[in-house]
Amino acid sequence: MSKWFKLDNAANIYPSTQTSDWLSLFRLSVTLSEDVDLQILEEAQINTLKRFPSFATRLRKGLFWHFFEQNDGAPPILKDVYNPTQPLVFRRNRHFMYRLLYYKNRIAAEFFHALTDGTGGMTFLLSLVAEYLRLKNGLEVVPSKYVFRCSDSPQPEEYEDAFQRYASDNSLGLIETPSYHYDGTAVPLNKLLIISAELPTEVLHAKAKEFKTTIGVFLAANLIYSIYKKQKSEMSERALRYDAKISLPINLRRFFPSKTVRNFSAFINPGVRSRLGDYTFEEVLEQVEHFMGMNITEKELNARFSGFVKIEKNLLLRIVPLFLKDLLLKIGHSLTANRTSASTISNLGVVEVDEAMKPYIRRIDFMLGRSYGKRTGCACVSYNGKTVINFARTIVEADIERNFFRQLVEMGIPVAIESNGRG
Amino acid sequence: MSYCVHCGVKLADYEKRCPLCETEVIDPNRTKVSTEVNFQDRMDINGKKINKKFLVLLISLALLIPFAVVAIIDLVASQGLTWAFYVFGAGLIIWTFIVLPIYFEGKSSYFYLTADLIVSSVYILILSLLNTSEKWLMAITLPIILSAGLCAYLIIFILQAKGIGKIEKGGWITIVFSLLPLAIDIAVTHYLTQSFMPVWAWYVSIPLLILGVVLVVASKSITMSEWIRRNLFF
Repeated sequence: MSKWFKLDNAANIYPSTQTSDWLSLFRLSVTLSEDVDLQILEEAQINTLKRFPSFATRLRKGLFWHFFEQNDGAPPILKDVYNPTQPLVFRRNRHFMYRLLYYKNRIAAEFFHALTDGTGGMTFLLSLVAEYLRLKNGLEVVPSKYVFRCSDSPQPEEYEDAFQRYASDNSLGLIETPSYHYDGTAVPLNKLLIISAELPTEVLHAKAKEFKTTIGVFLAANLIYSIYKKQKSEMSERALRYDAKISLPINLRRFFPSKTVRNFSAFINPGVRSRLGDYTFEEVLEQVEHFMGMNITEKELNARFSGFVKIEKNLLLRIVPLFLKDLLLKIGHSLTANRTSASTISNLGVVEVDEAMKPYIRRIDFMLGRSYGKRTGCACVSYNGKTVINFARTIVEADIERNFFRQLVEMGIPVAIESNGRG
Repeated sequence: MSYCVHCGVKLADYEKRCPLCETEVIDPNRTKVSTEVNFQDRMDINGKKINKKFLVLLISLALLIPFAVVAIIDLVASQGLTWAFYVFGAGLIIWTFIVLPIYFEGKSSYFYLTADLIVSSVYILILSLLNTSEKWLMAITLPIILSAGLCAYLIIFILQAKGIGKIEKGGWITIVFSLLPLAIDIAVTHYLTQSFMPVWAWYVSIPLLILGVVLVVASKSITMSEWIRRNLFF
């Protein structure tokens, strides 16, 4: 692999928009059935980094673009904290763009979004866990969707910019309506309030099936309905002018086969037009179902990301010096970033691991970090019959979470929750 | 293991209140409350915190150095403190503008603005006492400072107002701005001609006032505000 490489198309925005207080992070964690051995974890991390060359990098500034440069060594492994996804200070992390943490029987990784997306991050973490289990328990690592064997050589297509590979000449001029936004009592920057829920996947799946839909659509509709209810409760004509919309990342690997562990996802923003009258959950669900059906097609998604690739390839934009690009992207991002959605729900779906690994992994968590402007972020992942839904918020009030989980309970889905209430 | 009586969710053993609705968990059967939690200590990501008091002391001392130098030179050259007050006043303004927000972090914007206005006015007062022949200081500068201060109060009030959209806020702020040239013009014209009738300010204030009113009216109309948003990337 070369000593440096370009950022993928989606990653370009993240380094330009980061500030000293904020950068886009997400967190994945694996709870094992036994306590973590730090020494073995350190060794496993070194082996895993060799297998994932795009993770063994640091961010550098060129004259026109940011780029990744090979970074030797490994980041320090820290004790897990009460307030996860705090901004990553690269120089305190040996310049690596992810943070590895552990606490008792849990291994967690927090990734800078420029480095990877949820699927790539999960592949890295589960491969690390597989390597850890191999070193500790002599478990044989069987490569699978989310697990790469560290003794294998890295393949170029595993760190390709899949956007460039699949980009076509088509593009979509997307005009998005603005979304309603809710606010509350802000918590300090070093706090993040988390509510973590565990639900039986089977019951959730059966309920989604009852509504003739999938878990992903069902949960997305539930979040939109929760936001819509909050919007209604404000009893303000102004609040009802806007649509209740959320942002939904779509894993493009489903439509465009790629083994890449770098970013390869696109966003769509489903929602309901709140000003048109009262909605029932069923109506919201139907609306979301149709919206997703229309927008999540190979052609639509391709046109979406091809437009961004076209912008990146534009000669006039390419010759703009990086400091100007940074400034323009920062201004553009602050004005438009969260205009079109009130929250995000990211669903990684069902994560499967090799049967031999299953007894060692009790639970998998996925969590979004502090968003640039949105007050709540929701992330879900299902593993071994349990779906874990993590809400992270930056306001004291938990109205959206309350609506969300109460709706699930009312539908007969048992929900067990815990929080980091102390913040 | 308890359930929230309002939300119906199962709660972790260590939860004393439901994280969703804050309802207290009362379970007579619970004998031992587990304090075991899933997370550890808080990460202090920004490293060492700046010692606020030390920083305030440092800036204050740094400001005292020019004061001392100026005071000594003034005492030696003029056999008393005369022009050194110019530097003292300017230093006091710098101190109020920089040190006060650091020391009294998190206070209301009105607090800082009031402090800034008082200190600026006091400085003008000192200047006019030192230069009794310069009548314009009190007649023009002070009214301008106070008018600008009043505008700033109104703008803060508008910015902090809840339930008003960005376009409407922009409209009200433009209206407030339209009043400032009038105040400046009145102060200058009154000093020069003893008349309270503005002369040139109309050319600035009236377009601003019209723009402000248009924005406020437009914000009330969904179609118009959408058109503005779309075309100005608001």
